[in-house]
Amino acid sequence: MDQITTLYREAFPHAARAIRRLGGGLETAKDLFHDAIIIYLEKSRSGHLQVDSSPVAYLVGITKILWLKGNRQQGKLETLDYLAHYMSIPEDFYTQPEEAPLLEQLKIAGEKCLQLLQAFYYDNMNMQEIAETFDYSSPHSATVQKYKCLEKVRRSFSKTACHAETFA
Amino acid sequence: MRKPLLDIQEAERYLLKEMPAQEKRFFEARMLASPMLQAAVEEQRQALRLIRLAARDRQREKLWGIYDQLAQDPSFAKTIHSIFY
Repeated sequence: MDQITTLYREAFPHAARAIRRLGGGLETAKDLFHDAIIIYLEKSRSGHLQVDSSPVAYLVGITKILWLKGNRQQGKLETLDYLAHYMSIPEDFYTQPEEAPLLEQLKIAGEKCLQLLQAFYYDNMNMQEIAETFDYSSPHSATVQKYKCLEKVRRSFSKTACHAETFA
Repeated sequence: MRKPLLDIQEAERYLLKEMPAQEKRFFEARMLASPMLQAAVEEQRQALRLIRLAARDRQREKLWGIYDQLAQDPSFAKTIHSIFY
């Protein structure tokens, strides 16, 4: 069992109980808990994780904050200041409705390109690791490919009709 | 690398805050003078954001898979069932 699965197994029942107590169901608990894990992993990777508690307590805290934010219970959220302080949710975490067509465009731009770009811009892999993972002859040729992929993505956005309206 | 790729590389160095202060000021001045460059940088900023959003969707799919895998374990399934039903 890998590390994330182990953490999931340990933390999810606690998060699920918290969401149940707040009035939510299983599907909501899963959605919110998954976002909490993603936030936890992103902060761990970027070195911005401030954890005074255990990872389990952190995940349960984030799950609760996401619930309260989703239900606009700002009053209750303020009473969780101690949580909000340590567990801020990135402002740009969710896809905005106007971004959805571009996101779909990106996904059809080419799976290998998208994987390569995510490896660099999301997983923070360096070009040496990327060259090895994606079978490029050198970090330089992987770098050139990365820029070609980015060029392809940008071109595909330009062709998306709504782009000009959305981001002009 | 051909010129369009070098331009993308330069915009990336700006967006990822890899430019030294003087180069950054010079680049920002060029953007002010060139709406086309400004638009290209903005488009690239948006591309990086969407790449991250797509990566989050990929992570969500993986996590749903992990739940399905754990739900096969009777003890985990019983615990979750007892919470909601």
